[in-house]
Amino acid sequence: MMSLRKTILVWVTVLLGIVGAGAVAASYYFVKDEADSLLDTELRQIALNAGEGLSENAVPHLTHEPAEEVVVQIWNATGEAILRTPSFNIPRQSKLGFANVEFAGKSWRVYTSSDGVRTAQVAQRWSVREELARNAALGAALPILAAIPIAWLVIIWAINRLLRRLGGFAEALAQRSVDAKDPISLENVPPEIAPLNAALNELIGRHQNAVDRQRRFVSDAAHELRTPLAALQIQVDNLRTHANGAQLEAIGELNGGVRRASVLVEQLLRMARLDDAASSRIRADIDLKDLVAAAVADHVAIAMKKNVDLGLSDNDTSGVRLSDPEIGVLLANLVDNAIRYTPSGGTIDVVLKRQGADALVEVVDSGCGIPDAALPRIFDRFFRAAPADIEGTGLGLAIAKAVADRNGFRLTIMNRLDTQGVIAQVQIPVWTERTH
Amino acid sequence: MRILLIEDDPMIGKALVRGLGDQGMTVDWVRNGAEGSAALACAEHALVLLDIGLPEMSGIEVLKAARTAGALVPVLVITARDSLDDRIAGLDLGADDYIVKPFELRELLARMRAVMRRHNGQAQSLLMSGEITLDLVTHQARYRNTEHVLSAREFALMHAFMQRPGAILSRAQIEQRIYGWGEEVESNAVDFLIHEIRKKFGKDIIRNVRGAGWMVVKSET
Repeated sequence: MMSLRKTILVWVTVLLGIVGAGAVAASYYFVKDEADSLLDTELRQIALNAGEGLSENAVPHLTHEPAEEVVVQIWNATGEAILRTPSFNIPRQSKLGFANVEFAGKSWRVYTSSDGVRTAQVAQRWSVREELARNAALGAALPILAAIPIAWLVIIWAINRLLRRLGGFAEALAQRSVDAKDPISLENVPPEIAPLNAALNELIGRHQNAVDRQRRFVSDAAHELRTPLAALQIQVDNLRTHANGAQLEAIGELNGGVRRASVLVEQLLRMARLDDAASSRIRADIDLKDLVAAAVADHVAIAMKKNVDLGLSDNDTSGVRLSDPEIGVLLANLVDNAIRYTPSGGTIDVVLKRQGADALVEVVDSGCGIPDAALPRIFDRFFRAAPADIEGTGLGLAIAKAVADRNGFRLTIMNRLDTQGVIAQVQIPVWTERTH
Repeated sequence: MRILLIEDDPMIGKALVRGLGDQGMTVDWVRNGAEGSAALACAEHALVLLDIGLPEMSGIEVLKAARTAGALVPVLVITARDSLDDRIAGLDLGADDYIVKPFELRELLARMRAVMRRHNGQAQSLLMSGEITLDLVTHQARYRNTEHVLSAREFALMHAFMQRPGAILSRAQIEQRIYGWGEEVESNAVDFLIHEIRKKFGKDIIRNVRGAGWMVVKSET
């Protein structure tokens, strides 16, 4: 679609062009008409008065071809020319009155009159009249031609002014948070744009509703799944009480499946909760050190079971206080991932240190690493970079990322350069100004 | 032991009746709030398992009515909603504990035992976590199938761990907890104590966290 500016410019130019052409045509026509009657009258007057008292030999001859002048020729009763231009003898017209004559390749307007004694013939070139009309037309066209660039300048200035105001509107839109629920303000918006603004607000409202509905659906679905999962879990536990050796193994597998489904449901719920920016956040006052220690402590048993050496290295980051309890989940998910992908006999170091203005928490494992191609998608929901035999829901890192984002932390997952394994790093801005 | 189960979901109901029956309990199962309230009024049960998400009369209303009527029976709430508000609402109304679906039978049994113990006034004397039980009166400790009476220092150490199961205690924290002011602490005293306890109960009773300290595991994994 053509831009507003271009559209208006084109149409204004076309309009001025039409007006200009009309003015030219009208001026030409009227001036020509006027000149015809005026000059005809003049020719007649000259012819009627020509040669009065003119002596037959005192003739001033024109020496050059007349351009605009009137050519006067006079003959006496015997037909002898008593006034003429030597090289310019327009033939004497037999009929009296006005006539159009072609002579010497030019068109002439000729008036012939006779009083019985003398015949006077006055001629003037047609082009004189055309030139008059042309000049008049040009005079009419000039101001309109001049108006075109002036109109352009004025229109561009006016539109720019208007667009600047719209620009402010666009900026307000651009700076809006995705979760902002308040309508966009109508102030400083031209009334023509107001319907667009209103429609936009309505769209934002509908979109917000759709997002809310989707989140509620996920949350409700997960809640509804809990009851059948609970029933399944109890049935599996009941089976175990009555089972013998071979059955026990099968029941163990079954139990693993039920647990995995339960974990997935929990993670879906957590994800839905994190997506709800409006959810009242519990404000807490937690020491980062305690959170890290808790994340490690919660995984000691499972690490030992898997024969993975899980350790903590704490380098003086005393006094880092945090307010979001979900940060514990973020750290737990990183440690959980590390244990999942580290084979038996491997090592996991959880490191807490200060770097510049940030506190850093690093979970460094000696696992299989992540293929480079998978790295960009690692925070996508349900994306799994792991070998198929490692269990997981694909939501752990998505949840970690969501928690990091809402707290203004930077979460980076990278492959180790020194050896095989992954470093998961949380960068917590502490000593600079925080934005929440 | 006679248990009242108020639960509308037939799958969970049947599974629990069977699972608790296997543990030698008698389960009376009602499927709605009205029947549940009536059964509660009889005061014949040692414990009530109450589902919050009942149709018509919700579990919260049943609980409110029962407590208003002066019923003292311990109530363990089963819920599919785990938002803090839901949990607080249940506990405020006089539930003794809550468990979130889905759960394992052993966890439910452990919670039931804990609620019963608290109800019978034994709560102060026993600390339990996972497979460890510590008797604060007799200084007896039980881990898996081993039971021993602990020395004063060993007990102080285990007590420190059992007060906050799942938390890591550093060497300095342990020394602070088990030695009084001005007492001379030998550099390897903590290692020696832990070694002694592991010798009695097995290595896994106290877990070592490299770089951080020691801990006991919170619940079975």
